Amino acid sequence: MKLNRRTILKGASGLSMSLPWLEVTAEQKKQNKKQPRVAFLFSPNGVNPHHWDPTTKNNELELSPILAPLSKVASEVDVFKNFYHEGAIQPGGHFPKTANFLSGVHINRTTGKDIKAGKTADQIIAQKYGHQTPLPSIELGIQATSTGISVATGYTAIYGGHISWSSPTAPVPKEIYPQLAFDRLFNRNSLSKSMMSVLDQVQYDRKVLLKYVGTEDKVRLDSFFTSVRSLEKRIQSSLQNSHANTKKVPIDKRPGAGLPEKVQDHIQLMLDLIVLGFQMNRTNVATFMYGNAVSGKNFSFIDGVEGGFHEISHHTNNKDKLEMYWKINRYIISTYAAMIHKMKNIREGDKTLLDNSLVMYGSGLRDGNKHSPIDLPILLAGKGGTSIKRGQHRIVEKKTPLCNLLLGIMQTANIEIDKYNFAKKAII
Amino acid sequence: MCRYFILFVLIISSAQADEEFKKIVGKYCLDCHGGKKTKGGVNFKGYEGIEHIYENHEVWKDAIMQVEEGEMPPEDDPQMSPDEKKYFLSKLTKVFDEAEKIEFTDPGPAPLRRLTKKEYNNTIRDIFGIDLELGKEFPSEGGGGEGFDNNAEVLTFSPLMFEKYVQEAVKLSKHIEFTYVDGFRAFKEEVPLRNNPQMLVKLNREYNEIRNSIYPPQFQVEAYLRDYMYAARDLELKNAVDDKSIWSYAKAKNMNPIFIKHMIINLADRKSKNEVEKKYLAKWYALTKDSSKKEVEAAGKQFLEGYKKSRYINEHTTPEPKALYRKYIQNVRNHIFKVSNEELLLCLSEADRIRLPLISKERGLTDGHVERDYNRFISKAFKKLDAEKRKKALKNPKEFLNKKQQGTLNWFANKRVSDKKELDKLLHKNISELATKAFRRPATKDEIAKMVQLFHKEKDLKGIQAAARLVTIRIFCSPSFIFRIEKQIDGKESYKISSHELAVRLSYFLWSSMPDKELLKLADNGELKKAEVLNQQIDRMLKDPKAIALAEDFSSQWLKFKEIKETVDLDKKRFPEFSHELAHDMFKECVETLNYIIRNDKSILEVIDNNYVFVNEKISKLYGLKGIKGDHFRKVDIKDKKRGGVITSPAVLAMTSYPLRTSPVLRGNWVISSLLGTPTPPPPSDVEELPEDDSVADGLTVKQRFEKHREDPNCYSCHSRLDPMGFPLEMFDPLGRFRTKSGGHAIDATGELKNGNIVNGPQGLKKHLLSKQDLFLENLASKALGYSLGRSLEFFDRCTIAKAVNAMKKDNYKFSALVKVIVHSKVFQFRRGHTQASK
Repeated sequence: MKLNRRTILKGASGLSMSLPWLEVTAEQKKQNKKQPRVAFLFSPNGVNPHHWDPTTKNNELELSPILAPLSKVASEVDVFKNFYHEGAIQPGGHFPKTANFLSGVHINRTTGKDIKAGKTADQIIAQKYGHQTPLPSIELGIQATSTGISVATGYTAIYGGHISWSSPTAPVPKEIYPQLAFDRLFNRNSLSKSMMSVLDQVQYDRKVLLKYVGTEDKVRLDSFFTSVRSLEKRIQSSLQNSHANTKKVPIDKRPGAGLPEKVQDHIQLMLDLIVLGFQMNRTNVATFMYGNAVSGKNFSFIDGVEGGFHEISHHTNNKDKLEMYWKINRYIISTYAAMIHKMKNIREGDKTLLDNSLVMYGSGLRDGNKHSPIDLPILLAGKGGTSIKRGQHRIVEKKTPLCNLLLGIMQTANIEIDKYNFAKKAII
Repeated sequence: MCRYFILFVLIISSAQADEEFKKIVGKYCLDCHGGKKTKGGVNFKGYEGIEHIYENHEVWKDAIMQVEEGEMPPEDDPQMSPDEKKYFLSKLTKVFDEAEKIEFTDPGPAPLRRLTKKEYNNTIRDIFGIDLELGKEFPSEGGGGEGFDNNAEVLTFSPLMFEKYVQEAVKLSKHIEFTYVDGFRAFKEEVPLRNNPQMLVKLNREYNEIRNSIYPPQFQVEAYLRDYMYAARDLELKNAVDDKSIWSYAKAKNMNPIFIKHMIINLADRKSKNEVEKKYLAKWYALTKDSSKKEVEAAGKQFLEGYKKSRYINEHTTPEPKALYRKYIQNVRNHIFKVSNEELLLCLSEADRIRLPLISKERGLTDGHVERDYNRFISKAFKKLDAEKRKKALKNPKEFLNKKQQGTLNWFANKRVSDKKELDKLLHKNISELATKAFRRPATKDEIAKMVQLFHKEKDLKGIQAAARLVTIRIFCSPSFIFRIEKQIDGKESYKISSHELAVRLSYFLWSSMPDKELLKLADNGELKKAEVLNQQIDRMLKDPKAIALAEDFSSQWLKFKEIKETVDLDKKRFPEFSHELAHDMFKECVETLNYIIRNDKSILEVIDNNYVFVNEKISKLYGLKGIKGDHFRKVDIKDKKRGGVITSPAVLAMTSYPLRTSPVLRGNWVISSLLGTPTPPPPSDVEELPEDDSVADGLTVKQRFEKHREDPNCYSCHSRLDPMGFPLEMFDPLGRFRTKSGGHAIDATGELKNGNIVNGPQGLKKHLLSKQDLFLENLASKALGYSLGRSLEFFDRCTIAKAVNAMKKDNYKFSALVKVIVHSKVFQFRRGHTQASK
């Protein structure tokens, strides 16, 4: 794919975006009570532990080399220390520390027969409030889930490619094509009245097939028909608001077809889409994977970096590798920082988009060389509509469940819940 | 679970005496593999009794090997006494041996399975006979069970997935054209909904592009003629003027075969030439085999000058582009609506569409007859008529048309229907046909009636083609298409699936696609139930080009060479030759090799060693072969004993390398896990790795560094198995090229096995692997069985695997022997008679 440089440049600066916010003054009042937007960004392969932790001087964050790109938005971001996932303490490399990043549960070791993870925080929010937006949630990534199983550890690769789970047995696949993600976000595909009659008939198949299949297969078919229903709902809502919606499609921001050749363009486009989706009220929930578990993505466009991400993360304390490791980490943080910066520059009434959102960043591992799910690198930006103050280095008690934070995020997103897996007390 | 248990008790009649077994496990295993510690992810806690083996059979199977080879318990830990070891092994082996002998009654679960990306596209390809390359943007399957993307257990569903199916069905529907007579047909280009002026302009343009790619623009005619003259002479000298030779010659030279053929015919036909022509061609005709290049050129020059003066070459013999161009534009303006380089489409009205062959495939020539007739028919007869008369003319042609026109019209008329009842019948028939193909079962009356309803509703709104599109979308969004569904009959413990269902299982196993006509016919008339018919079909299907799916899908996942396309990323500065395209060629080489072995039913051991390679120009360079030109792959016999077989293919050697260096560990791991099916547990973290770049000399050779590493007992138990399988391949660099030195050191390509034997170089490795053929065959059989069933293997699958291994050994290691055992097995042909709660 040839990437239109303009698209990126435009996307990169929040100011050049059209601001539907200003156009829809009538809705403004409603917006103040708006459901907070929530995004979770997942980075595979951990961080260089020597260059992650910031320090605090006179109540001010002193950013570490990896976190340095946050300087412009430091007052908007909390850097957490000491979170861990108890459920992720199990052998088997990355997989059991990926699928449960947003639920914290123990992953069932299987090559497929009995997949089991946990319903993730993002999906809990999407299931409760998804009906408020055209798309309940959007799951994005830059790498197709790899096929196969890890013979050595006995896990299916499914676990390594999904951080969003709509139920313990249902991973939510991510979109990796920027254009298709855009089209989905803006209902640009095949949502017509005629399509409704097609779906009607497809629903009718249920009756025919239920007579045909056994109990277990009925469960499998159910997930199919649930999916059909969810599309029906979307079409219905899009037909109802068709006028308003077509007006709003920022068609100039539609990415080109295919997969971007450069990993940096790919990341940028996807993060831009999340911001756009939030800004235009297309969805309130998003997840993004900077790569699958064990991602070997090549970041050698960064000065001084050579080789695949995963291989580098197994630095074995080799000086050169450690150097490359933190440089990749820093690059990833710079994209997060740019996203936060952009959200901060988008006005929503007397607040900003960032004020009305929560954007968490993290990895399921700390040191990629050790695969340890203890003292995870976690960032949280935005206030989610509250008046909480950010910009702190928040050192929580050692071995505090990350579920505490997930619980806090869910509560802020208006989920009435006080228990969530290993959570003991909500943190936000 | 309960049922398994009862079964199991039956098998292990001596299960009561398992206290001793439990004691041994407790004493030697549980310290590391039970309770708190679960080294290598292995946990025996709660499973230490022999009656629980079935729950954890993969691990116990592995335990036999580990204990047998003295790897477990680890050297520094207390060792089993010889008696204990004997008891432990005999107990376990007995359980497995018995399992191999017993015919289990349980066929295992056969969960509903959604089509994979690949199966999705293949099936649509086979329904319409055209490859539209759909499904490419579906999320990729995670893969599970024995490691395959078609594993039902992990083919989960989600709203995104359904949206993708809808989008893809919409895409497909745009390529569909419906006529009452011919039903739903798909075309490579999108078929427009109705003709409108804009569309005509667009088609005009498209059409010109097509024509220009076939006919040269005017100003190039001379050079063009010369090229084709020389081509004709070339082929005549070689005496290769049959269609096949012309076609392959044209393909290689990127020329149009039709015109080469014209040229040959034209030049050869001396009789019909007039005096002037003969004069210009005199020199050309005088040429002999031994004519010098100069003479040939002079003859060509004379001919071309003559051509310029006389313009004797008429439209029929050699195209005169401008005239043709004009003629076709006229056609388009009249009624010919859409053109590909194979067909013209005539639109008399929206519903009334007829396709005419432009180039008949058999003859490979422009079908001038039909084309001319048609052209006349339109321009002379129809064009002059107004709409009213046109209708009349169709009904009563004699009044308006001459005899020839009538003949043409009859030809068309056979393809036209106007009676309403008749139309409705045809609509039912066409929808039913398409749905039946797509659903892999007869569509029910009810289903068809509903779809006809849908058709009519949309037709009234938007017209026939729009209606056809919508019905297409409806069919291809149906769970009956998306899922492979087998009828569940509750009651018995297990029952045989229908012949039809068997045909479907078989074709998705061997072709990754739906059954073809022959297979369906045999299923419908019950013949497929006969063992010999089934075997004939297996043989036929394995020879069919579609069986390449076994190389592309099954083998690429079994031997993992799929990774070369997806995840391998060699450093481009160090290996500038490495590119996306090269990786694809590497993949292709392995596909060609496996395809050759499977479709010709060669010994499957040729995967390990043989005396040929499949190469194109790029790949041949990696092999150091000379004189191979072009991108297409061909089989080349080789004498180099180091090469041959998938093990030494660039794909495997590259995907088991790091970006800057080879990795004996990755290579060894590939050998023992993908080939032999005996993987080691993953490495502990915190291991000291080799320098990233093997060109950095630190005084030690790679091998010496490894030996140092192996001194650590923590590493020893695995590396003593991995390394000796990797070192022999050190003779090849990360691109798979032969080398004698690395990092300034001479390569030491020997590996020492635990028993002290030395494996020397690739030849030695292949020899060693052939001596381990039982492991290789067993692994292959397990993988193939898991792939064919689309599920994880169960304990009771051991008997099928053991049978398959024996069958292959008895029948020259043929892949077909393996397939036959699988297809005839109970697990392949039966379903559980009642769904039971999974454990």
